[in-house]
Amino acid sequence: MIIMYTEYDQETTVLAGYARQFNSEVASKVSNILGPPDTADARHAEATLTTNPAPFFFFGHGIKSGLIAQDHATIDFNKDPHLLSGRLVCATCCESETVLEGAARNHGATGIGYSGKVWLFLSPPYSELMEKCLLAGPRALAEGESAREAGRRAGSECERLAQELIKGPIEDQVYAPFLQMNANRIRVF
Amino acid sequence: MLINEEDLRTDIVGKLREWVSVMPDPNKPLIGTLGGSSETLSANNILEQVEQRTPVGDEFVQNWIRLAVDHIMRSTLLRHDKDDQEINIRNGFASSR
Repeated sequence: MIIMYTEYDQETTVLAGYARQFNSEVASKVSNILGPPDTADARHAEATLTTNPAPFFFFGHGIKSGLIAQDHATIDFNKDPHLLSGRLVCATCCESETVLEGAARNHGATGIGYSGKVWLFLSPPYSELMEKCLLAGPRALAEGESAREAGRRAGSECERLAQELIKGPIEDQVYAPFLQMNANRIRVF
Repeated sequence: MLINEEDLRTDIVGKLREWVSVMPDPNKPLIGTLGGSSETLSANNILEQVEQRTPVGDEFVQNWIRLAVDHIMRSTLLRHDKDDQEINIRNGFASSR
């Protein structure tokens, strides 16, 4: 497995914590960890993906034209779809459906991603509760489950927490719709 | 199901206003996105999105209603008298806040 994560703003700082937790759980299966400060730039990522066909897990920001690396350069898989040929991919970022669709359609990539925006809770206790939601899909894939099952587990975990929070006080309830929105946006390809 | 979504939306706006009014720092970023530019929402921003009926605000309200109604439908408090359903859902929605 290749795990890549960035850490340069409030959102990626929270997400980097999830990525490190995931890495600690699956460390024996990880061949490359691409993290800040030295190895999460676009050049390192592209070089690693060129030479290593292992499953690729990304945690960071994404836009329609690609995944954003630590150096803020964009890794455009629609321009370089061969980087993902036949690969299992899990992209925990906005717009990953668009980023990965070309590689999935024409180059045999499979995995899970999100359509549009992914919401992220920035402060405890909600940021801690959310970890289980955003790691449900990666954990399932790391256990050898299919992309479809990983997507189902990711959605179920978001919905389960949303249903718990909607029963709570107002401060809990406000967070619940954002989890449901994330669940609605999970895509399997 | 006999639910007036606009009434529920009004309930949500009222509750959000009350929540924002007692927050020590309603402008503190609470929620971000994993998109390209750092886009965060504070309590005030969430209320504004709902009040201004932006796409995010509308999606937020629709999902809140869906979750709240699902919760109430699962609860044993809901009577099965069709004529009372709307009243029960509104009462349950209010009490679940």
